[in-house]
Amino acid sequence: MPEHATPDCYDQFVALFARHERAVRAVVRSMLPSSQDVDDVMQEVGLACWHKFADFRPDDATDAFFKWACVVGRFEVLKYRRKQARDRLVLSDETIRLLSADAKQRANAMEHERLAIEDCLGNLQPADRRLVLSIHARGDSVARIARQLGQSVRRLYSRVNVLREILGECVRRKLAEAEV
Amino acid sequence: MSDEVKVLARAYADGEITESQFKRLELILQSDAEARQQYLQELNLINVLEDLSMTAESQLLCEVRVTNRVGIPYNTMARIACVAAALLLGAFVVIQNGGITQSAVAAVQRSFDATAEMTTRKYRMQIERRERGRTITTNADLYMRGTDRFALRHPSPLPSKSVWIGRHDAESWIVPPIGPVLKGDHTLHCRRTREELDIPSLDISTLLTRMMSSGYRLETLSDQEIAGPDGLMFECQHIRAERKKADQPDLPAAIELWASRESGMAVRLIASWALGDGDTGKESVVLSFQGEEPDLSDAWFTAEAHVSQERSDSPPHNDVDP
Repeated sequence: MPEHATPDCYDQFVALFARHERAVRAVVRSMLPSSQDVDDVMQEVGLACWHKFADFRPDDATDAFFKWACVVGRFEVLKYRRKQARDRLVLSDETIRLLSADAKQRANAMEHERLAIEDCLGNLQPADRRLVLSIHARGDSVARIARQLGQSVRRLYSRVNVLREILGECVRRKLAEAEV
Repeated sequence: MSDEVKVLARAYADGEITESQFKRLELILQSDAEARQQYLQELNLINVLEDLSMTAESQLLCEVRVTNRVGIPYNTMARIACVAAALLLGAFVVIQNGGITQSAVAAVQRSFDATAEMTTRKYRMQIERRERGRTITTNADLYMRGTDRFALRHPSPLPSKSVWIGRHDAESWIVPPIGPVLKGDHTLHCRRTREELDIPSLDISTLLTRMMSSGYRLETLSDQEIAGPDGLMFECQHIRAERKKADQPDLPAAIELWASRESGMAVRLIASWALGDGDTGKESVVLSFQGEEPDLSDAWFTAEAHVSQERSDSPPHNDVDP
């Protein structure tokens, strides 16, 4: 266990990690091609944050931990990327650096988007909502669900993209309304 | 939003991107700050949908509201727990309904009766999933008592902490290492499992009804000796059930049961799925008997036992007040 592993420290860590984990995950997701990759990396991010927690210097900013954890996340993504070097889908170090820098500034925006997405999802027809959630379930693939539904992969994929388009448009409208 | 960025972002997140598209995406992301914002927005949409597919939908279905989720995929673990518990009970019914030989049916019935006894047994559970061309193995401990009580301990991403998932009579629960305890009816764990795997819940009548339509070819194989805890050897009947229809890929392709000749108890149970090339999903679930736990109190199967003990790894025994 790390030297800083006192009960108080642990409580402080889990409280911070619990509060920001979702936002950090969103940032990591933007750098990796699948949610399974993100699951793997997020486990490492959690452990790395804990082991390095003594290095965390909180300031007055409410998102200080988020930004620090994003840096840890970026390095974990790079480590993971090196392990997956044969995979052509891995983004370059430079792209990851740029995305990480931009994503760190989007913590609030991401949370607003999330709330809007949840609202907009509620506006979909139940069957469409089920479909769009099934397609995004971890470990599922469009091909597998297409087989289940007896549809062609191409047709199902088109339908899912139409639903994403509807959701995206709804989210943009809601965010614009909120700004007004 | 630029259509090109959107298309490329989706193709990337779906694992469907071509090499030329990927090069184009990298070029755009490195040179265009506005495109990066669009890309991050599209990826956030997909990330939220992935997240909701595993959490919010299930919580909505179960009418459980959670305000402080910590992001550990509890529902994934709950599904695993449910699969394991259902297999211990359900596999026997699968085999029963596909039964051909009387002796095998009798053996399965006896094993089912032994499983339904109010005896607490511990099983080691090993799940193998294929994700992106590689196999990921997860180990967990499953405690079962009768048909309506189970508790599963699963490692969590937080150091030295476990997630507990269980059921006590009609109440299903999840105790994460941090954050709120989730409680609900049996749909909390099992609804998605049933939908996706068509494996029945612990509700025996539902299970029977559902499994009546399932077709498995039953085969009695030679008896085998199976090693149990502390080097104890079990003389076991070995029964294999093979799915008749090829068009139900979510059902296990085969279920094998090793039942003690002496007591009928399930000593080992293996369910395996036939994944096609490039498919992701469950490859196998192996349950291995670890021993009886006669000293475990009934409270062990409630969420409170695991909350009050700060999610410790020591089970409460009968001499401890619940």
